[in-house]
Amino acid sequence: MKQIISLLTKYFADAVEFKEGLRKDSFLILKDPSKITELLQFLKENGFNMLIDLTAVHYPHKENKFEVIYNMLSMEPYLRLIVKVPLKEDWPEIDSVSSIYKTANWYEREVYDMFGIRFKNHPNLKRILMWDEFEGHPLRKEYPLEGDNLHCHD
Amino acid sequence: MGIEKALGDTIFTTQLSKAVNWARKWSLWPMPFGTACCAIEFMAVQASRFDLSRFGAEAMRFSPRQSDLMMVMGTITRKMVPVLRKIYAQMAEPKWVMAIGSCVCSGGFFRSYSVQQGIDRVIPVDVYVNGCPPRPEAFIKGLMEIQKLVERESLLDRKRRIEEFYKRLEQMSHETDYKPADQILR
Repeated sequence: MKQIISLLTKYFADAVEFKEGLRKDSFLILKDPSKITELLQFLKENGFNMLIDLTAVHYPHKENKFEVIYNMLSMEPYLRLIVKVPLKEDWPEIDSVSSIYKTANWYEREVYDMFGIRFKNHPNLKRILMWDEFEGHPLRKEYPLEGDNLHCHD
Repeated sequence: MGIEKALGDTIFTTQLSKAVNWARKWSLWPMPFGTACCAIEFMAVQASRFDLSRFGAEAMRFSPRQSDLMMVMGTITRKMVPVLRKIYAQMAEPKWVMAIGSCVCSGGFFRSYSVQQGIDRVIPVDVYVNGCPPRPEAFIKGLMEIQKLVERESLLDRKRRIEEFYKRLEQMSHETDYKPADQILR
């Protein structure tokens, strides 16, 4: 892990910040969202061959309204790394990583569906869980809890 | 009546609708619309210990066209709603609906955008059975309530009841205070 950390700080300098996790995992906060494809390409070339999960959190009262989270796994050596990317805008955009990790395709569609975060250069960015006519993005905090329960989609 | 006096105990007279309703009451053919754990409990209701066939409702039909009582058991997600509505529409009249379990009655503890908060906003429900899941006794009590309803209600009343339900639903859909998120991206 130390090796990776020193490599990352060497290549990305001020753009990344490390935080020790509670267990064997550690957090990597990427301050510059435009470098995400570069960072994940770098991680993939350095052993992190699996993207476990890609998700997001909405913090409506914080300065950075959204946080996109990439859970990375390196099988050999066994390492875990959580990459967090804070985003400022209400309706943010970030580069798609589906060209690096194929699995990101559906994860990004899910994040788009639930949070309305758009992924640039995504091959097929449309809803995956909710139906196509659905209005709004249900995991955003301003979305009503029970949603629109009187209208149906057929 | 005169005819009974003449023929003795061999016959008795009644209204046709009462005779038909009596027959219908003891030969309900349920359609189990089981989507979650209440349907597992329903297996116990049908099995020998509780034995639903004592009430003449043992002929489970998985085709809506052959059944007249819809037993909705289990969480109805909003994506399942069109299916539920279609299957209800496919059932031949007269038809009755039992909402079994708290998820079906009110959404239960799934107070969420993805779960229908009670199917009575979609199809007309006759009997609600609470519980999570309900005890088999509660299922049977619910079925007995349906039987009472079948016996009591003439077919015209039934038709009127269903029409009223859809009228009320139409009104409700105009009264909603829901507003979508301020910006919608497609």
